[in-house]
Amino acid sequence: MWQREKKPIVGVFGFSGCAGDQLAILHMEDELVDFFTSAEIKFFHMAQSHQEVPKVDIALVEGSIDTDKQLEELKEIREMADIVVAIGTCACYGGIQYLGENQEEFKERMQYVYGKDGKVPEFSDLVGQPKTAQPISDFIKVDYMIPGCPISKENFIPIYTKLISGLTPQKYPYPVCVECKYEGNDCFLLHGKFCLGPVTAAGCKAACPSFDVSCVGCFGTYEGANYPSLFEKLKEIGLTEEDITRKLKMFGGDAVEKILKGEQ
Amino acid sequence: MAEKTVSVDVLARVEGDGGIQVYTKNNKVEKVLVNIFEGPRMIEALVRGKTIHENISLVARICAICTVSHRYASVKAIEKALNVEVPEKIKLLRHLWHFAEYIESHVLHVYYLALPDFFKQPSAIALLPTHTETVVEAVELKKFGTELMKLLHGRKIHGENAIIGGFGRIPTDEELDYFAEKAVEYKEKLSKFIDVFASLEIPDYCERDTVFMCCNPPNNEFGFEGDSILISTGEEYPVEEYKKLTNERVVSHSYAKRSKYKDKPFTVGALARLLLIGDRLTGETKEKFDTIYNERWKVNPLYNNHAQLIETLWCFEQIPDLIAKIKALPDPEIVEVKQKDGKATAAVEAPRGILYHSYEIKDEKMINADIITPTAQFLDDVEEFIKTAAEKLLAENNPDTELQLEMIARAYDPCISCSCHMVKLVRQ
Repeated sequence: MWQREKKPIVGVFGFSGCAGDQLAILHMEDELVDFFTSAEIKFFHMAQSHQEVPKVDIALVEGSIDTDKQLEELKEIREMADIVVAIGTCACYGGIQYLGENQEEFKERMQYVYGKDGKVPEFSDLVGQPKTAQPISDFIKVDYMIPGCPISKENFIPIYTKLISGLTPQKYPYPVCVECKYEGNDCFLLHGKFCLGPVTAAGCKAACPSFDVSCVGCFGTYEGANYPSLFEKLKEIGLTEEDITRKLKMFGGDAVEKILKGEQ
Repeated sequence: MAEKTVSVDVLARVEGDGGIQVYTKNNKVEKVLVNIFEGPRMIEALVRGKTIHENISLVARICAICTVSHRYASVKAIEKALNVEVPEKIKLLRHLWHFAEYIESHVLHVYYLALPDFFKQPSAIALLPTHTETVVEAVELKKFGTELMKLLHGRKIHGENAIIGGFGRIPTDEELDYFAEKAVEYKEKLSKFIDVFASLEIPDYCERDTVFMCCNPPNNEFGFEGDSILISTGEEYPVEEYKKLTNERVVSHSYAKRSKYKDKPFTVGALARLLLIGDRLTGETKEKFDTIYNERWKVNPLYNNHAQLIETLWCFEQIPDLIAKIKALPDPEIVEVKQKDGKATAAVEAPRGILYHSYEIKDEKMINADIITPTAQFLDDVEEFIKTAAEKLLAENNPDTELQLEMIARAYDPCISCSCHMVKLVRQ
């Protein structure tokens, strides 16, 4: 039997988000023991304590960067890891809280949530100073991205097993529509109902349309998505330009923002 | 010279990113800070201007472990605001959906996150060689929960199947039957585990009196939601008056807000529920609760682990009957939303305590949102219990001080969205 010379060291790290991508790993009940034994799993504070090491081969990083303290930690992770993998839509694109360079909106939201008598209180350096939410690729080189809100095991496992075996994962350049056809679902758009399937990266096995609910775009955009056509179709069924933009931005983060600005 | 700091830089085996700092002077604990490093996401601000349907997808993403509770509270608040009345079958399916999350969350917490402490191990996986059967059972029980979530929620995490007015897809009788049968088998397994867990020695360093709160479920039944809040002081408030109970404030060492009731910290969660409405339990679960209960539950949050196990048993015991009732009713259509403006507050019990969603809606869009999570309510009380324990532990120079303090924080099952590990003891 083929065996690796030594198990790779994998670090699991979390920044701002719901911890759903780390939880998705813990929710792979059938593969859980394999996950923890096929590599040396380090850090992963959500599941274990006292597992810190100076170097890792692969870092799986979840969450967006929302404080200066997180930014410093992210840079340390880049230095200690050979391969950095962004897991989940927050790390890949900024997630639902994405603000990018929008300082004005950031100030307004801080005021709305934390403000009192027109002032936002100071936060201690222990927890770091707040900033606009951004994807990790805004600050460090990211080698691979596994999007999803949360990631799906069908998408994660093939990429992950290749990485821990020293192989190069293949891109999966399909929209949700491809998987939706495999699942044998009827098309929402053909029936005049809203759906973001055509512009959303696949990997979820069309989870939502298979339950007869529309795709909300939680895996973010896919390369080669035809946005003009989607706008045209959604306007035809009664959505305004504003509605469509708002829906695309819900999970789209920096990638969709660039597309809508015509930068990509 | 007599100053020292006990510091848990990262609280491990919790959901979210946090740590504990204990500051002492002349052998007296001066203050305890449970720091929340999790950066601000400001979900309440970003849902403004979104439609009610978009809102439920967004707020569920506040937390992965209690994704169902957030979506449930949100759907309830919107339906209450817009006068949407759903048929009985939908109400029952929502109970089942919520039970699935209780099993997933409680099993994850007690078996995967809390149990390793009792054997001084870093994780549940580390228990595999010595406690193989228990770890395998934990995986099986949690899988029951996550698979049932998948069936009703649409995915194990952040499914979109539960919507305003009903469900996108209603499960078939055959799909439900599988869970009704399995629940009986798993109830037996869990019951045996509870006996084992109840025999573990529970440290008493942190013991002190506090105030408990939970939702008052209708019809004097046990359950995980209600339109009023019961308090251990004997008071009761409608959920609309939640601000009187929480008095949220911002502290500089945490992006999670804090709460106090009448200037005092309080506890929510499984322990609060069992202490306040545990007498409403029935059947085998009631017997088990009566067997393992003792007076220390009232003063020691480590019994939250036991309380969560009792609730999990209750879910397994209820599921077969609940499924029979669901199957007896016809599948309803999704109820249409007709009213466009409204204002309402709803509360459900997330596995770790009361969760409030309060909304103002205009033209089917979110105008204002106020969401108060259980962790924001109990963090002050966690600090108080840690303070009590730290004084005793430091006075006796206990070598396990950090672990003991972490265990208290972990017992609350905080959803910092993940964390308390590495308690460092720094002596100056």
